[in-house]
Amino acid sequence: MANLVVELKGLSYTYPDQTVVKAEGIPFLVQPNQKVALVGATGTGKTTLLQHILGLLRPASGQVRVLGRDPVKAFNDVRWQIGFVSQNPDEQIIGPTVFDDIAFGLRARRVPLLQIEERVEAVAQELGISNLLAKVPHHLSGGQKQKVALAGAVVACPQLLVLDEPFSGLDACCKRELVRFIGRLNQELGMAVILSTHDLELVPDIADLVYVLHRGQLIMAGSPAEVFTCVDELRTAGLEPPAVVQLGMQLVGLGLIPEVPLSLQAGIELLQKATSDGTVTSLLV
Amino acid sequence: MSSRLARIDHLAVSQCSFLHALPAKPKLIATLILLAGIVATNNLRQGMMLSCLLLGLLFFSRLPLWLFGIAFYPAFFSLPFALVKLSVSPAAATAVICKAVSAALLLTLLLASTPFPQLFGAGAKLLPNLVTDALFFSYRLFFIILESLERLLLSLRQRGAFARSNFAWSNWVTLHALGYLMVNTLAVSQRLDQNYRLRGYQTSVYLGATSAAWRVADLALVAALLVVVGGVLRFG
Amino acid sequence: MSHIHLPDGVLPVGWWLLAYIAAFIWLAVALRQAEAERVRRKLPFLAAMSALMLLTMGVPLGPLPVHLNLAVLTGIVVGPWLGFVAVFVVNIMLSFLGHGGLTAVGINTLLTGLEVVLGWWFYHRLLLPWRLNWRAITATGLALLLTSALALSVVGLSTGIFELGWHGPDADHDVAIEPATAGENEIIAAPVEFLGLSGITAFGLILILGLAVEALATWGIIGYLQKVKPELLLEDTGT
Repeated sequence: MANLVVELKGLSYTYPDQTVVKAEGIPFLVQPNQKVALVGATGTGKTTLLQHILGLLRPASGQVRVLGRDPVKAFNDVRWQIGFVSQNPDEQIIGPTVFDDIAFGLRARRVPLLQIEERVEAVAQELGISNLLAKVPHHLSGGQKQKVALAGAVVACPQLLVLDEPFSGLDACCKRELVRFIGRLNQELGMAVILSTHDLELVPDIADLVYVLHRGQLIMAGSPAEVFTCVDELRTAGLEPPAVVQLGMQLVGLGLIPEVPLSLQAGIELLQKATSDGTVTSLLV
Repeated sequence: MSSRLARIDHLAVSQCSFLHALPAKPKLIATLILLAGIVATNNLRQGMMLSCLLLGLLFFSRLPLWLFGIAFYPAFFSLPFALVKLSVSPAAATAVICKAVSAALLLTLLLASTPFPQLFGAGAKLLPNLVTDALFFSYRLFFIILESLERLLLSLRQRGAFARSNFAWSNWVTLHALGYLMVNTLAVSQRLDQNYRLRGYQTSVYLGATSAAWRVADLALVAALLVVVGGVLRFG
Repeated sequence: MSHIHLPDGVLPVGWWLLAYIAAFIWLAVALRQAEAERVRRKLPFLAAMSALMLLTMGVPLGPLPVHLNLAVLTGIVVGPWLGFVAVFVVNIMLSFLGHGGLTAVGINTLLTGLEVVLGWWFYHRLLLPWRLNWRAITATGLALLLTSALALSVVGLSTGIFELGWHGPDADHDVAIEPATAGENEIIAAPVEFLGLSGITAFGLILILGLAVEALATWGIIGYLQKVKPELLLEDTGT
């Protein structure tokens, strides 16, 4: 396929302690402007796969292409096109203040100072951290650090945003904000997004395409609706479909609703429709 | 020391004063001039004059007075050397302690008024890139592993690791905890290096860019300081 | 252990200037010896050991009542050249926190750097046939003993702390040791007692205690690493 943002096939990597991590099976492909979720149980190799995309690891076998290039060989060029938020934001915070940290990527690209100030303030406002710009990052809460890390990753408008377990440690409100923000980045800036998670509840709200990784194999790829209705396969992979999907499948089985909802809101709408058109009443009689 | 460093780091970025507003390079040069003056003082009078200057800087930069307390730590270590000078005169002995305290206060003022990338960046032209990188990474890593250590110690205490009744066991646990901390620190350091490289970190670009160009006022400050220190040494 | 909390203004100018020059020469050699590619890969290790050394020098660790400096461990893990760089980095940072003056960085770097190099050499070269535990303890003990003795000698010689009398820079007159030989312009110096008569004994006891603690700590940590990440101990970057 032409112009793929990420293309990964038949990956295998051996860590120094001889642990082998694989991502074989279905090729991992990301189109421009696409939002992709990589799901799998803890320890299946999601972070390892992402590190290959980022050019931090060289595969023992397999092929990795990012924006048409080998991310290891072309690391110094490809990294400018990627924004990354790691599992632990403490490990990527670099500046003495929040402003300096967010501005870091722009300074590294030698963007003029005036533009830096404008862009940093704009991103901070989007994420609701304008009041933190003068603060010292390592004194912030986990959620605030996450936002700072995200701001730093997107301020230079990269073509690809990679997020490693972005929802861990966040409360429900922060998770929803993050989902909305990522959605806007994708829609307004055309940023491709790859995020890894083992928490499937938010995936339907955020991803167009879901890849499931299990025991070194990419076993499934499809839309959230296609993947999450394969309950048995998901459970084999150590994952639990979202609660609303499980409930929806039961309700579809009972004939109460016509399709499986992927979100709570969709489920509510389907039930309301079923109530108003008499489906529920007729079944109860 | 670790909590002190965290508080000093916070002061460096959060306070506003004329000292904080000064660019890092002239501040570093000024520090070296003052340090040379302190080291070169011959008697207590000269030492006290420079000490007063530093106390004035502390006061007018609105930095907290507990910083002065840090300066007394080296005073303790200067005592043996002061005792040697006691054979000359009590004033000579006091001058030794005064020097130690003044020098420590001077460096603390510098650290508390200059964010660390600017400080390391100011010295970046003098030191090899690897050394500057190591200063920068170590400083950042220090705070990360400090948190890890606190969590580790809490976890160990909760699990009954440190028992006064069992000295050998407590020591064994402590050593293994240190070993764990070391392994963890190495892993974090590698991830830190990866993430910084991903974000585009290069010594000359980042740390070099944090140092501003010299202004006329900076030159005037350095010249004035030379005159003051020279005057103190000559006429003090 | 060999890191001396020498405040600024104590060492004579000639001593600390020479020490700085020697430290920078050694630093230049260390950087050249570590080839560029290996240096890039080793930066995380270097920074990690620097941060750990900084931490252990300031944080009380459980029941251990003394500071560790982990210099020998640093030499064992990252090698003598990068270990020396790590020591230089730590000493600069410590000087800003009142743990040794800025003028003492040169001499502290030389002494602690020597501890790193000796520790590495004993562990990876001289004592290689020995069992791991004994290697760790002996390497640390020997390195500390030698560098502490050197540190004491340096302090004693440079500051005159072991001399009777003092020839101060501001003294217009010389100091006589013997009252009988005192001239018109000479003052008589009283014998300097360093921490009293028992000063040397007390100092020796502290030295032995510190040495034992550091050696046991290094042994304990190496024992842990041997089980958890043995490849760290196998790496020999002495060439």
